[in-house]
Amino acid sequence: MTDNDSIRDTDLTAPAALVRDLRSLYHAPLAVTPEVDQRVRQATWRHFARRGRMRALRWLTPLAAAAAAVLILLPHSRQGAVGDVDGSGAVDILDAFALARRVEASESLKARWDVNGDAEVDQSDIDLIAAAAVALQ
Amino acid sequence: MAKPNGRSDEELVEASNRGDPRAFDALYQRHKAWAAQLAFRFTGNQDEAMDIVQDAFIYLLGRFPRFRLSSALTTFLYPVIKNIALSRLRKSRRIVLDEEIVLHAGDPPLESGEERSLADVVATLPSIHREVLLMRFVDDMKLEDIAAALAVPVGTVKSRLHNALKALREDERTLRYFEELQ
Repeated sequence: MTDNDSIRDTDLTAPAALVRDLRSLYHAPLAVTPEVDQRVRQATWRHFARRGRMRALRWLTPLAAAAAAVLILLPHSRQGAVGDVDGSGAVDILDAFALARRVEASESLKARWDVNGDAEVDQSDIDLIAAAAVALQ
Repeated sequence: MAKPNGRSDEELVEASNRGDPRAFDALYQRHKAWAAQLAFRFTGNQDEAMDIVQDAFIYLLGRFPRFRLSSALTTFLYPVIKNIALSRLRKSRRIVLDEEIVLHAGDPPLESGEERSLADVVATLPSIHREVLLMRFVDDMKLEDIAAALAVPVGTVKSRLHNALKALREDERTLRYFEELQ
């Protein structure tokens, strides 16, 4: 064993080729499955919804929640329901997450995701889908 | 609102503490691949790694809204993932010694003779040396974060890392990495 005090920082560096090969060996890409993604997201939403339900419902009055629910559930076109971002045929919290990711990534946004009808797809639409999902539970 | 994916882990933790599920989702998206790799390293099994990722993030979720991030999030997640993995391995394989598990599980697929040599030498390292070596150079963790994750002094981390590198330097199968420096 080595006396810790005698170890120089330069003794703790590795040659670039060694680091490269270690990463090649032990850093193999391993994609998390969509099933795990979905279970974590559902748990996330349940967790925060439980704790924030009252706050969310104060923000979205019952009337507005009902209106949003009707709007989201109403078939909008052949392309699917308003707010059905992931194309699952149902509007739930996963759509809010999916839209949030698309907005953050500046991906192309579809008009039917404009839930509040202000001609823009943005954070307010994400919030409305999320709040409506709470109201619908 | 600022973009979740443009915020630091600290900012996302703060937002999660305020009840923002999108912030937690951003943390999950940011760290899930690393978590999966780490879980696979401990188990050598992809299905088990997926279950561990799920358990680890649901455990993290339960820490909100009072979660305090005192170091890197990976520093918090590392022992969580390790403990879940070891618990599952003990349960399924009735393995008792942590040493055996960390030393033998999750060996990567080998693609070349050079990689095989390196993997062989790494596999012969004492598990505590091997673990620190991989945390430092594969996970790119700082010495202080490794110390926090393993709950040992920084000096101990330095000693383990020094001994791991020394073993690689003194083994003829991996000596070439160090000769290139000279």
